[in-house]
Amino acid sequence: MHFMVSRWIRVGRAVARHVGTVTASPSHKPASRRRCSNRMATGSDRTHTPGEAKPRQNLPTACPFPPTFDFGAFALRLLPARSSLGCGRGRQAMQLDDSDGALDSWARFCALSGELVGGAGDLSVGPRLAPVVADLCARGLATLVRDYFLHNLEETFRNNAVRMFWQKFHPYSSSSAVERIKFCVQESWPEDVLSAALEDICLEKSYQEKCVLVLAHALQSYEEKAQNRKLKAVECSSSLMPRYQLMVSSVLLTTLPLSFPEILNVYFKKKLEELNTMVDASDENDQLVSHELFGQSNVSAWDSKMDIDSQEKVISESCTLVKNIGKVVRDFRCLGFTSMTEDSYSSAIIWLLKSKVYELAGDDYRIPVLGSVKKWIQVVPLQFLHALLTYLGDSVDYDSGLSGLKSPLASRPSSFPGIGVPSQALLRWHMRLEYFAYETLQDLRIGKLFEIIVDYPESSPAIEDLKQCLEYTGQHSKLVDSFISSLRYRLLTAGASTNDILHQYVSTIKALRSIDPTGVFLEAVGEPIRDYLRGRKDTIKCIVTMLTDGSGGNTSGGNAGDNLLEELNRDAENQENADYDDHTNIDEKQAWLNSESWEPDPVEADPLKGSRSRRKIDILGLMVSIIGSKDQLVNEYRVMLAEKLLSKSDFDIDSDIRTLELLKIHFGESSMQKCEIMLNDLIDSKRTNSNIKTSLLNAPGTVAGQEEAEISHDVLDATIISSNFWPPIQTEDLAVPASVDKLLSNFAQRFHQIKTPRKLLWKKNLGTVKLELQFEDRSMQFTVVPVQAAIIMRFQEKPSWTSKALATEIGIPVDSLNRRIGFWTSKGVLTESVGPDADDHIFTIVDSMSDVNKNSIVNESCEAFQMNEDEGESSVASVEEQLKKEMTVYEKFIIGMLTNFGNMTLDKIHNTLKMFCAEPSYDKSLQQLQSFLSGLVSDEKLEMRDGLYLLKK
Amino acid sequence: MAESVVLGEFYWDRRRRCNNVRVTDAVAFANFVHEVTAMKVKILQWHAVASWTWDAQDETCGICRMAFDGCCPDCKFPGDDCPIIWGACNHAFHLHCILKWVNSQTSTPLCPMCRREWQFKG
Repeated sequence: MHFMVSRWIRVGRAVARHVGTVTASPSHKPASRRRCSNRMATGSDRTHTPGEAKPRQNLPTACPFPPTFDFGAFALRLLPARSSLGCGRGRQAMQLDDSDGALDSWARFCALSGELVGGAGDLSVGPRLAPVVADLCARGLATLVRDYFLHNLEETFRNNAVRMFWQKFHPYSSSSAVERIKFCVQESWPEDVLSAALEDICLEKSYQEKCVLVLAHALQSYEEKAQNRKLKAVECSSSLMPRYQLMVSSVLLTTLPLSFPEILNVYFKKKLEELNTMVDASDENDQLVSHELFGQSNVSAWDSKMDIDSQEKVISESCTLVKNIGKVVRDFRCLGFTSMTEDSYSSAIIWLLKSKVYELAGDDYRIPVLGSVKKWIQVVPLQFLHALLTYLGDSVDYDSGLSGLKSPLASRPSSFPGIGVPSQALLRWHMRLEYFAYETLQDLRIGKLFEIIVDYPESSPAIEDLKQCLEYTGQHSKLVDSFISSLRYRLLTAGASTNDILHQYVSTIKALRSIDPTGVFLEAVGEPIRDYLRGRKDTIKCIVTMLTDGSGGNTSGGNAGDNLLEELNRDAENQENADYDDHTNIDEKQAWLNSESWEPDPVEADPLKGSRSRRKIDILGLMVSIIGSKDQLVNEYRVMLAEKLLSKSDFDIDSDIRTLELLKIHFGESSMQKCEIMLNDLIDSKRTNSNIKTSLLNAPGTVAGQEEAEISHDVLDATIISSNFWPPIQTEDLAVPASVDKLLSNFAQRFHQIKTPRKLLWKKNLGTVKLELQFEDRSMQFTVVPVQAAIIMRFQEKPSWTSKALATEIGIPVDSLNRRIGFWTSKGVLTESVGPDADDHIFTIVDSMSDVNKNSIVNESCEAFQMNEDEGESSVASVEEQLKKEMTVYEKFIIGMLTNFGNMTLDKIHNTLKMFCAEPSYDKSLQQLQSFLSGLVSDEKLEMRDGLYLLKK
Repeated sequence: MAESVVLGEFYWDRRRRCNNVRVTDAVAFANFVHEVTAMKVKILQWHAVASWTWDAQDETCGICRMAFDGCCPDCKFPGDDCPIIWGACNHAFHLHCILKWVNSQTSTPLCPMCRREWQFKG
């Protein structure tokens, strides 16, 4: 036994020596091998315990790397032969011969394989190798033969081809990031290096493959023989090639420099760009040609021929380009870089697609880009992929067997121009690219949605694009989130005017309505805007202005497209249609049809809110919902209407009537009743005016005698209002000049006569006066309020007045006079000088042009002046003032409550008032109460801390 | 000659914004100047605002409790469309209201306020 073992050791040493000669550089010798041979030399008894060493036997097959020569394994493989021989002495001698033969053939095999692998393209050793291999196989050393051979190949491959291969990329890998850019700029940089390197390594590989084939052939022939003789043989030949491939790719991958994927990327990017520019150029050419074609139809045949020629040229050019790329890809594939190359070219395609989308979409929202992006996808990347896949032979439906597993997305039948029936892989690529394009465009548009909506009617193509993208990708929530955040950042700030916010809101509604007709996302987006607008005081006013300023005099810069009046108009039409629908709904059949066309709410919908409310997206409804109730809106409208009507100097109210009719349709007739009466008053006034005037003219006896040179009755017009239906009007005493006063009383008298027993009560501070100031050298026309007219008319009697004297004469308080007279001083008609008291000013008429600063008024003197509007005086009490007046009744209740309870929340105050205030009954909303309380806080009557109101001490 | 001297002095004072000229003097001077160059105001149009009222003694109609200056519940527009009427007893009602009342009575109609026989005031 001992002897046997020492023999084996000798065999092992011999083999090990051979291995040592084959390996070129001992430093490359893996450590494990050295360790193993040491172990064999010292602790040889281990070989007898197969149980302990058995796992090693599995190691080479399980390991992806070709096994380094493992002496332990070698010894083990001999074991079956030994055990089958038994322990007899005669048999020992037989075995001895056998071992010698094995050693001999092993040595021969080593030499031959070394010759084969190391030899430059010489395959002549093949026939000599076969018998040796057969002999070794017969001794059960087939796996050893295989492993040794593969190992041999690996060493050669690693040391020659692979090192050479990576060395070609070394200049790039070892350079800094900045220098790398220089490489990228070089036109033919990665291409040349890459193709040269690939060629070399592939040459080497194909040679080695031949070597492998030689061995495989030898093994195979033995196996066939063995099978014929019914001998047990290990199948080695079939696994040889796959193992070799595995070895190649693992060697390459383990030695891969980090920057190699980068190089690949650059290569594919460059190639694709080249292809892209090629196609672009041909496109331009096409357009050019078709342009010419349009111009000269008689030579169209020739032109189109040329067109085809040029196209063919481009196609053949791009074909060669794609072929080059295909070759590179194929080479990489056979080196085992399949996934890496695929990653690279797909990322390059996607990068190109992205840049294309960015280039096409840009910041111009007036052109739809989706179509051109889709077209481009078909023209460039898909053509490229098609060519590549056909070149690689992949377009033969490799997944036709998996037809049951086809992606549902791919089931869409599509055909591509010039490709014919697309393969499954191409279809997938198409889906993938389109999805990516949609997503990119969508992200781009969502990011700029705020700007897009700012110029909405012009940017509707962009909105349409976005809509299609969202239908495809379904990432609506992204839109909502990003838009809300940009709204908060850009719109809902103190700096934005309410008007702008409202205009943007209207545009948002319109834009989102076209993206999503169900209104779910609008609801989500609109909520922050609405909340914000509710906190602004002038929201109602702005909305009403938007409603009423339909005639086009919008001075605040909002474009006419945002006008709510148009919306009113459209709404009116819809209303009519809706009415019609209601009638047909009675029909049972129709009802059935309607119920069949029911669609569930989108999944994103908030289930807490009923679906009824969002059935119809109605801009006005949304606007009203900001305000809270339509009554508030109507009230505000009434105040504005009153203001407008009272400052009218003619009775031209056609546009107001139209607006009112539209509002009536929307808000119901009953709520607009008062406004209707107001307009009716104007119409009546017109009639009454002409009535009275003719009657006054027909009765000259009463008038003509008293005022010869005075003002005639033609001058006077009167708006006669039904004061009960108008908002509270601010009256102020005013002593108009006697001549006017006379006129007014005559008018009133006439009215009384015509409409007995009705009487007229003049509101002398209201109305408008057009007058002309006549000086010696000039005259000026003004349109002013009666107070200003009264002031200036006093200066006919005396050219200089003190403010106090003038105030008593006119019958208004001094401070109000000082305010009003500012109009005349600003126009350069009066000058102001300080009197003896600090608060008593002297106003003097400026009688000649030479006396005043000419520059300031020369230009103005001929114009008809508008009323001075920045006085901020209104003839009608504003809604807040009205509210304040009404709420003062409750002030003492609130004060009393707070003295009893200490502090209360807004809700509690509201509820308590509701419960206990019977006379006058409390009918105000929570918001109204809140604004009143905040008024009290600012008057320092109350204090507010942490949402609690308490009395100020 | 003296006139122009005075004038010049006045203007000079005004330009220097001197306060030591007494107010009355300044006004008197200015008025004096006014005699020379007059400003006239010519009214081209005076658009006044007035409200009308039935000159009834009461505020509201005794029947519908609506304001006289408003209209009865059946009417939309006040004024000519919904006049008020006085009875012989000097009680006033909306015409429509009292007519409804009168027509609903089977016997001779009485004034709803004073129960005297209702007669329209001539």
